[in-house]
Amino acid sequence: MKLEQADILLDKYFKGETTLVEEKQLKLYFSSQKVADKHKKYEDLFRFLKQELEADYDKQSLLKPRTSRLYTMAVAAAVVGIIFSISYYYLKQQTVEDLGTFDDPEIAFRETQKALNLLSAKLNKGVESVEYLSEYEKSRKIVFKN
Amino acid sequence: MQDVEFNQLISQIKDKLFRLSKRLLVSREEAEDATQEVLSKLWDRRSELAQYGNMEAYALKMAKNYCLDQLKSKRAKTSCLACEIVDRDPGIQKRMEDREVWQNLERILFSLPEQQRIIFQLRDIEELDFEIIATVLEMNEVAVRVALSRARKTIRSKMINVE
Repeated sequence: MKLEQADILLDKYFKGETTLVEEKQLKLYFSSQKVADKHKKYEDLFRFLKQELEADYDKQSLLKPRTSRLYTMAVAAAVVGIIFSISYYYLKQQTVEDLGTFDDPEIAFRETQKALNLLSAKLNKGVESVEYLSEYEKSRKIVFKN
Repeated sequence: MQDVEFNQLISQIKDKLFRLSKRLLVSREEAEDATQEVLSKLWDRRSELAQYGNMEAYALKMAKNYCLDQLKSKRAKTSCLACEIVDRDPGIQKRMEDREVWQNLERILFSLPEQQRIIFQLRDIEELDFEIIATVLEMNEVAVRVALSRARKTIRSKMINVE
């Protein structure tokens, strides 16, 4: 493309008046080795436009199971909720005379700790942690009357 | 729309949907999520797609709306989107200068108002007709050209100032 033509097209380009065909011509011009000095400052822009067309949607992502993160978070939230309610019950029990089947609050505390440790140790295992809830339930029922 | 037809449509537009989403959301991961959302919505509506006119425009409009909603809800939090303009896939860029040039242009584009960003992306990169761009943005073609001109001039002035 001659200098004058490039000048005219560039002017139209910045005014938003070029057609798709003219824009293609400009892109060709800027990827050629014959860019005039005064136009060199636009080279990066037009090269960028060409490159950007190469970014594509990674098909692999379509296979990624979308629900897994939500599920794990739901389980984690449930487990945290259980820990909080245990702590609440434990703290509440401390002000009540009747401590359930354990006369010694120390033993009661240790049993609770065991139950909590059992639960927290399984925190990262997603589904498996729910199975351990039955183990926890047994310990809990020993410690607290209800 | 038959499934075969649908798959053909999807394969032609998925990359455009992704690139538009990335232009708006910056993060590759978010753009992939957005694209997946739009593709699954399109799948849900596949039997009614014919009534929506140009399907490419319809899909792009969906992507635009979804991404703009995402941006609105992000504005409430203080996450820095511009900080996510990171290195591209290493294969495409080799030299340090190239990377800086690319990052600089990405930042300039990100500084444009969203509407101009969309128009620039759809015209200068995706090479779409003004008719389609006007449909996607629900503007008339003259307004699209005016916004495009503004965008290009802003890019020019910001590029030249850097040197």
